[in-house]
Amino acid sequence: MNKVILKNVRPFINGKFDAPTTMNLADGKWVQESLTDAPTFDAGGALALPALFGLGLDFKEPLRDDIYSFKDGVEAMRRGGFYGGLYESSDNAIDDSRKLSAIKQISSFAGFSFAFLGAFSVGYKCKELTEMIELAEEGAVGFGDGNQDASRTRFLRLAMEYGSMTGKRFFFMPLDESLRHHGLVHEGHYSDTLGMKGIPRVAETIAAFRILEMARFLKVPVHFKQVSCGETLKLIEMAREQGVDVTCDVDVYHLLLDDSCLFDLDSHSNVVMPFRSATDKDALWQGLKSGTVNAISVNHDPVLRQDKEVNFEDAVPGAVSLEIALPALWKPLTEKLGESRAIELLSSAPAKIAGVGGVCLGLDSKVDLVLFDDKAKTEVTSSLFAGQVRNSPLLGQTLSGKILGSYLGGLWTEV
Amino acid sequence: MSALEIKHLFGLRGVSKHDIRLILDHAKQFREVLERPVKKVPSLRGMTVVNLFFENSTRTRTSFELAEKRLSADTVNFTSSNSSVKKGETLVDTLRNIEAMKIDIVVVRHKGTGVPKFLADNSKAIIVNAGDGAHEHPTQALLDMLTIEEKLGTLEGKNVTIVGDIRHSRVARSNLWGMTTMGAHVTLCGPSTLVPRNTELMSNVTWESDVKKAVKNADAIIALRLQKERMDDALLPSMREYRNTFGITHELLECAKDKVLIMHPGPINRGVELDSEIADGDNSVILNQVTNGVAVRMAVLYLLAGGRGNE
Amino acid sequence: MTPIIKRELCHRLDTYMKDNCKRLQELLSAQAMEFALDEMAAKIAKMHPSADNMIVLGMASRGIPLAQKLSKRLSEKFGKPIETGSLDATFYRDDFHYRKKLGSTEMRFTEMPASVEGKVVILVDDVLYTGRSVRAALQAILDFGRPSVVRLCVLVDRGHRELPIAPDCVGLTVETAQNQEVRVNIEPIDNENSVYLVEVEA
Repeated sequence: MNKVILKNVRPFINGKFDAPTTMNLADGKWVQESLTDAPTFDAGGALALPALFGLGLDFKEPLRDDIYSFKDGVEAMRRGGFYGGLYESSDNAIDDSRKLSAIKQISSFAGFSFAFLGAFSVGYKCKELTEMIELAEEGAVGFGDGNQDASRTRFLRLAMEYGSMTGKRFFFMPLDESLRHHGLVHEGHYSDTLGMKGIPRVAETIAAFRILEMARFLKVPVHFKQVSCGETLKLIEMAREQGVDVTCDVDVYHLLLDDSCLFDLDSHSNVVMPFRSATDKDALWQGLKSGTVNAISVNHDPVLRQDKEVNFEDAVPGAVSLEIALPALWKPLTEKLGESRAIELLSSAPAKIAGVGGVCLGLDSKVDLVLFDDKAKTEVTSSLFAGQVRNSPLLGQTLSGKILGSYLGGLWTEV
Repeated sequence: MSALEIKHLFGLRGVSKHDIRLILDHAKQFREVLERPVKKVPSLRGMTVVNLFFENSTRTRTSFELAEKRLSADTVNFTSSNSSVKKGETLVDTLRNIEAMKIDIVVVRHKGTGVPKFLADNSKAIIVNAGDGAHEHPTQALLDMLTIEEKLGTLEGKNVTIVGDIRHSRVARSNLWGMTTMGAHVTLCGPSTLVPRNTELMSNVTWESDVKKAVKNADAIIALRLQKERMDDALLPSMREYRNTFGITHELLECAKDKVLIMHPGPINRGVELDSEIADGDNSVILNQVTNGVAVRMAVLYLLAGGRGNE
Repeated sequence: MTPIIKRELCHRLDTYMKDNCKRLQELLSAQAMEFALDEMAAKIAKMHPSADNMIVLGMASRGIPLAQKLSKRLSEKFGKPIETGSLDATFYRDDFHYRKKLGSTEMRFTEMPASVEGKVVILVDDVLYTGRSVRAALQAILDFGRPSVVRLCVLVDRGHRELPIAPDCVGLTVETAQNQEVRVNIEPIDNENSVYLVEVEA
């Protein structure tokens, strides 16, 4: 329904939550007049946050629509309170402008703000360049590696050199395949204790350094997806001092989990980038505090149930996060960084990286919001997730805080 | 009066001294059974054990099979390194299938770390780990411990040195947990590309890079098998250099105690990690290990099956 | 089994032993126990007047010292040593799957001094109750060979048989209730030689 009256709600306006009030929402706007023909929802003093923006969405359509679709993805965004996201699919490289216009078609759900990363190489193979100029004209906001290996250094140079004509940012997940060498988890005390093949930190820092040097040399803006260790953040700070335009994000789960969870051998913790040590987790939080990290990313990567219902090492890596990112992060994020910065990191900062306008709450203006009760609890169960998937490392846990509903694109959804 | 605290045998990390003691004591009794004219007792009569081997291992499988038969269990072998698993059947499906055949105990070997625990989470059967990846191989460690107790009376205060590819060895991991629990002091030694770099969680052991120092005070030396694939993977330059620096040779044993026990989980690469004259020499207890393997596996199966209570 | 291991098992005995039952009545004193054993030895000697081919097997755990005492008397009677061993039939028990707790390893080992083939086997246990451990022991003995005769000697028969098994030689027969137990204490397993009727908490 496109009209709703939210009673007893505390909207986030000008950097703080207001006293409980009533919000009359109609046709995507917060209107002044009292609605008469609209259903009323008593929020019980819950918070109304500006809706969130997700970096790293992969809804698998069209080539892997057996796993997930845009319909599922948008449903997940409604449940999690996301008004938009930066889309890049490992299985569906957007490597020519026809694919980009097709995916824009598929994703044209009213009111959602999607931005798309084009691939800089055909099929993410790092062998042939894509028509980046045409992709940029069609609306690609940047160019990405599809979270796949981009360590062919000469190709990297040429791709960035050619792409520099568009002025767009290059997005990388810094991970050196050769050093990774079939590793699935952080190489550290836990992987060595369990005898599991590990991904050393240098697999990330060496890849990051190569890209930063290239960015400095070619003067191309770059972004690092899912930075997982403090050493990479130091490299980023050094590069910035030298004038490199580099932004970065950290993943939701990397702020919550570390490699000690490996002892549970839960295949849901099989994700790339891997969860690193508790020290790294602290460094990522420090990076959020200092501003080295620009935003928090969601990296919503659905995996079929049967591909997770196997032993750890045979599981398909990936985690979904849209539905639970807010309740999972809210408490630690606000405790450590305050409410205003928390909302910025989940909403306006990621939107800015994707070149999408932010949202804010104000009377007589267009609003996208998520209604969040920070005193309730969320049980992470299968039914919480859209589609047929449920691949979250937090499955079975209880989170502090609960999403009550969202008003996105002029549509009220009660969760 | 006591029963095992553990319900399955996944590994020896975290297994109590009480449980290991119980297993070793029962294994000693089963070793006596193995000396009898009829080497068989009816303890597991009516129970069915499946040996689910996703990796080939004739030795371990034979040892388990013999242990099962000597306890009068019905046994089935399911070796699937190249059968239905490759046809896309998931581990869960395989397990459900086996379970539908009313299996009481599953003995499993798999290349993946934690597969035994995964099976236990998804089944009612009792699970025994016969080796999972480079994680654990608990029955091998138990038989090593039994062999040392048999020869030296106790593990308490003994020095055990493990030499070789520690990084990829489930035998080394199980041994270091089990033996330190039982009060032995474990020293680990191997080339730097084949030892773990992060050892904080394995801190109650000594890491030694000089093999001469590592064997000096040892009461027992376990030489690990060197996989030939390590050369292809550029972890080592050659077998030759390995033998010369880390092989258990006559010259090396001159640095060790006279009566040091020489052990090996088998199969031996003669002339690589262990010289033939040592493997067949007076200090070698490698064949005792094999005999003890059956006894230890009998004890594990017996105790786990008996611990189920009223069912 | 090497002596080292045996010593070790006996040594650990203390930690396993816990007796928190209520003693109701002394059935046999140390002296009466010796006397009962004398009588049992005499009865066996009457049944089998020769030491040849005889082997005395004590059932783990308290049958073992009893067997040693009995064997000593028989050797004195016949004027020559008698083969004496021990038998642990735990692995042959038919109630294996129904027990929550497993037996400890106190004094549990099998030591066959000689083959049982064609021998007169004197099987010795402390208390005869359901008959199931005797059944298990018989099966174990038969796995070792084919004795010509097996005789069963028990210090106390407390009734409640569940199998058609009868002793050949009994020191004492007592009537007991189900919630009672006959507790034989014997050195070196226990600190005294005595037999008590005890009440067991449900």
